[in-house]
Amino acid sequence: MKLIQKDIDKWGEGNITLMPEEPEDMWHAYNLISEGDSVRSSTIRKVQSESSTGSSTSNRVRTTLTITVENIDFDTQACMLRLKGRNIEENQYVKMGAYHTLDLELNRKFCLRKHEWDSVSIERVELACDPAKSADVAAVIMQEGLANVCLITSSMTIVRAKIDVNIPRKRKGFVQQHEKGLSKFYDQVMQAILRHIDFEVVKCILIASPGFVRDQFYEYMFQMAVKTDNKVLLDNKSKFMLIHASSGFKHSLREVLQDPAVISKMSDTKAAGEVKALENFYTTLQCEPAKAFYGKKHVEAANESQAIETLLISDKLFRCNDVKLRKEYISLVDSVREAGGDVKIFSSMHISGEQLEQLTGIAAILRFPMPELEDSDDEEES
Amino acid sequence: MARHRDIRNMDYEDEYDGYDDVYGHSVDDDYYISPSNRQFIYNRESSRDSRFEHTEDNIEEADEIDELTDTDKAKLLSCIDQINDNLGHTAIPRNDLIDLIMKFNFNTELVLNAILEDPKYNKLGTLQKGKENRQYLGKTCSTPNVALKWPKNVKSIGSSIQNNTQNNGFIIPKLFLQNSSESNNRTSFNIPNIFTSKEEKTINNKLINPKLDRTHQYNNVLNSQPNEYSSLSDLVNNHLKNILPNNIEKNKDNSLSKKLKEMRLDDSKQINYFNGNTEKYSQVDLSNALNMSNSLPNVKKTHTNKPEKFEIPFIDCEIRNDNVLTPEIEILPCTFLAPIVIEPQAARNKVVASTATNIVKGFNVPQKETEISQRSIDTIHKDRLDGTSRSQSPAARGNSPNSGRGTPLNDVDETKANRKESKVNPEAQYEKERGDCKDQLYMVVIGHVDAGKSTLMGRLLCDLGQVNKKIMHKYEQESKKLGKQSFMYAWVLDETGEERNRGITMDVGRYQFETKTKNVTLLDAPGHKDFIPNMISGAGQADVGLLVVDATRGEFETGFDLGGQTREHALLVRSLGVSQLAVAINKLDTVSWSKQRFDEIVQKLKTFLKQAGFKENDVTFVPCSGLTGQNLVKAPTENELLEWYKGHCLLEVIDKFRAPIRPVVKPFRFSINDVFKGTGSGFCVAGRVETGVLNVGDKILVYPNKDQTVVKSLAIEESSRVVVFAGDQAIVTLSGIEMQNVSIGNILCDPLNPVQVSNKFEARIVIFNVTVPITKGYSVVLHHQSLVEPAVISKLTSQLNKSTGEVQKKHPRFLGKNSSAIVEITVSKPIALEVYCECKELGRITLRVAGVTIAAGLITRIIN
Repeated sequence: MKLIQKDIDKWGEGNITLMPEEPEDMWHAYNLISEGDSVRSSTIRKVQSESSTGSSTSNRVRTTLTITVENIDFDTQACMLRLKGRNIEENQYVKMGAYHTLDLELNRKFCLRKHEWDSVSIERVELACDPAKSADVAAVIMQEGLANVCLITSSMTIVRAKIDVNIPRKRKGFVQQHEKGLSKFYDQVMQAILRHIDFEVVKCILIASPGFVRDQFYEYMFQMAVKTDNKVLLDNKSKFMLIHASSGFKHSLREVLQDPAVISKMSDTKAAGEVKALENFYTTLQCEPAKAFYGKKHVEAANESQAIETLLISDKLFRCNDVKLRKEYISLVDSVREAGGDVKIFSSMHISGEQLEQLTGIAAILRFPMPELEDSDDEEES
Repeated sequence: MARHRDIRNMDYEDEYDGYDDVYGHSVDDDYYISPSNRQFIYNRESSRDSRFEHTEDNIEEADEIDELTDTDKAKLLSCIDQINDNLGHTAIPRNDLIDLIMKFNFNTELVLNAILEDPKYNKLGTLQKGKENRQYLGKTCSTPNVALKWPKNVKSIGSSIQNNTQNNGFIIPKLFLQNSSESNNRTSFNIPNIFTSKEEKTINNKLINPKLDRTHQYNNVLNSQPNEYSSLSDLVNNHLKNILPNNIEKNKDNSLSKKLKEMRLDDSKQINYFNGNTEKYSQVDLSNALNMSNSLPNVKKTHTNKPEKFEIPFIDCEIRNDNVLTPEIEILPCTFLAPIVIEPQAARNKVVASTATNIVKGFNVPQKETEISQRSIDTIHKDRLDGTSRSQSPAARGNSPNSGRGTPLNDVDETKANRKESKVNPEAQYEKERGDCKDQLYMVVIGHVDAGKSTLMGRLLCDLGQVNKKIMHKYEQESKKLGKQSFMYAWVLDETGEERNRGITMDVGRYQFETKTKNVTLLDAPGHKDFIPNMISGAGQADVGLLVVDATRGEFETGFDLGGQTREHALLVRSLGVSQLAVAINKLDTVSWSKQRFDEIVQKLKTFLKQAGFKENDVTFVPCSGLTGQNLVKAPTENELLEWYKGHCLLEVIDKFRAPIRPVVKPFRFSINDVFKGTGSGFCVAGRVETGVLNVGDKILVYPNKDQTVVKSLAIEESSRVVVFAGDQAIVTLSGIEMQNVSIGNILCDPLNPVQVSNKFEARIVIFNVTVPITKGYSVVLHHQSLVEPAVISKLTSQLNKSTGEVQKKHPRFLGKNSSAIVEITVSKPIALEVYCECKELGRITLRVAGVTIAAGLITRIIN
């Protein structure tokens, strides 16, 4: 993302002009734009004009629209952001107050105006515009009969393909069927890798599985690559890494990202850092239950005594429609920072973020134990 | 309908006259008379006494529910539920209830009113409330109480009976055996219903009558010796006198004493009917009399008795029975044992449940037990109604796993001969098909990786002659070539090239062999940590387990200590329902058959297995060596071992396992663990019949997708069958469905009685040794039968006390290691499952995270 212009007054009101450059930037934009903001962007509209004779012609016009956002849609697969709302600036083609939908496009700048730019939003802009590129990683999590081909970017994990086939078990006299099923499965996984992974971009491809599936697959893939003379695969052979995982389900990615070999390879990826933070939280919960809390109520109570050392919070909480609630979370983040605590905003697109989301979306590791919190029982906003 | 005669104005004293007589003898008599038994049986048809006629004529076999439309059926069921909610489950016989509901056109309120107003049910209502209705005092005896009191009463009579018997040498008709053993799949819960009033007997259909009869006969068998009628009846009267006074005083019940007088009168009247070969009458009356007498002191207890008490009287009975035994009635004790062992389903279920509680500590579900029994009664009801004939339950022939006692087989054969077979009745079918076979036993072999499971079993199979010598030679040569000669036996079970090259088992291998009394199917589970999912699907199908541990110094320790699979496997199989375990201490030759080492390992394992919930006498330890074949099929030859080991060899231990009861009467369920193309058209699914029966040509549903399909053929281990039963591991060829619509973990089930589908359920779980606490939102891998699905623990409902099952904390923040809790689990997509108390097989779950089993549990509630 490129920051083109920033104009924020001392009350926090103002506008920022940004230019998304990669699909991931759309994710950032999705997190930045909330309902009630106004967005100005260029879009193509088909304009029909009727001549005096009554014949109508239609032509496509690129025009700039400004809308107040009422609805935001994000397509994770295509990384498309679609904003819906009322037009607030009339031009020659579009009337005031008409409903319009804007598709944000790559490499087209848009201007976002907020009534209040809070710290989290500004941080998000900075993060999005950080030129330090982290490695893009592809991962294939597999077990016999199941494979997930994922792309891991700094703030997103996208499952590109899921292969789920039945492999007949080995049985007397039917060993062949098992082996045939297995090679068919490997072939499908290989095709998925070729289709979905851009070897130009991806720095590293993790193949994770329990048992020997990964080795078998790796062997199979390169045998096939040699057979079919697949240059792409052969050239990138060094990018493949074989890692152990306990199952082929998506959440096993967490284990994969904890693997020391992976950590060293993609140290600056947000995903790995998040996984580690969450792991810390769980360890604390096990060892010193009075030092780890989750749920808004508990965390807020802990914050009041300035006890929070690390705050884990899912970015989904900032995306909520309720402005008041959003403000509460933001003030929580601010106050933790003020008190010298560390705030980790988890991307809900990552595995760890997904888990944190399940865990009420907010959790905290404290500086000192607060057993009294433990006793002040039972909230559970389910 | 006769049933709705004016009951309120009925003269009970009169009505009761005939009551005892009719209920005292079995309707079954007419249906199960083997030629050899006929002479012993009173021919009711020839009797002109009108009192007995109606018992048969009015019997209706038709299942009323079946004639209804679906909507009516649903209405009916909801009505029954409502009424049961109001009155409790045991309050009213289901058939009466259905009649009433039909009569009032599904109006629950009216039905309830009718029931509450009807004196016939009055007592039940009051019983429920804990009051007593004196009018029925004499009749409120319910079997539990009888049973409870038996020891006391019978002990006194017992001895005199014994004397009598020895004098007369009376032989009980074989019929009794059958009936008594038949009664064993009935619950005592039912019985109170029967005692409601005389009115019942006129309209009661077979369903209830035989039950009652059986109870009485059961008592007969207990009394066993009817011989000298007058003397014994005197004895009974005396006995009654002994007991009565207090009771009368206590209860201030005049009708009771009246009744008693009458009964005595009755007794003398009975002599009229009693001539020649109709001794049965005497028994009947006698048992009634006894029955009464027993009930009297109990009346007060009637409502306070809890089902748990069942077990005690039965044990007592067993002991007593031995006393009563006389050489002349050799057959008697055997069959008699069977009913004791299995009699009340409730008790059986309880035992099962309590075994489950061991692993799932503190999971006592006392309430559910009654439900279970109620349900099983219902199923039996249905069965009874469906089938035209009754037959022995499979349980009867049964080596019950819970009791440790078995019925000798020859006995079964005898009773079997007496039975009419019916296609519809699963029990009969089961008995017909499998009655004469050896018991089928599925054994899973578990243990730490490289403990020598495959080798041990390979060697066992070789020594049993199951493996062709030529093939063995081939394996030997080939393994030598690979430089892994020690793996030659393992190759018998490890068939894929991958497994052989790596020298580890990856998927469950299976093989069949026979022991003296069992047909054993061996499931060789992989030991490696990464293949535990495979092991779970294998163990989920097993009845018993064989835990193999490596005795080599250091090896046992790595396998057993934290991170080893010995613990995890043992816990897993226990939570998957395996309750009997043999432990093979393998590779003992490497420590030169040291007794010290053996004892050390046994000691460690014993404590652990006990914690894991195995009963001490369900675990057997066997020293052996898989590679050298010591102590596998033959007694050991090694002197060092002979010095101290006097026990059985492995094969004998396997032979000693008790085959579990197969739940054939339950609705059909089949869990798929493999889908493959067969040789012919269509495709095959392999898996285990969890409950019920499956015939070729049956229409079944594939859940959770609810696709209908037809069974084209059935096979067990390559041999084709027409019918398969619960417990079998069968290959089913399906037609009318696409192969890709069926996947591993799906459930095949009866369309009329489908399994539930949901993606959210509540479970009681026991958490093992976890490094990371379980919080809300914890993502796990759910293992349910052969299904593996990612799931999320979506809610921590409450934390339970491990031993008592009490709620310790509501909404705990997290669950630490070794705790027990109720949680809500959300699965990523809907799966087919059942509540544990309805179907044990489909109600078990295992949760794993990152290759470690973190918890096992039971499904308690399905949330839609």
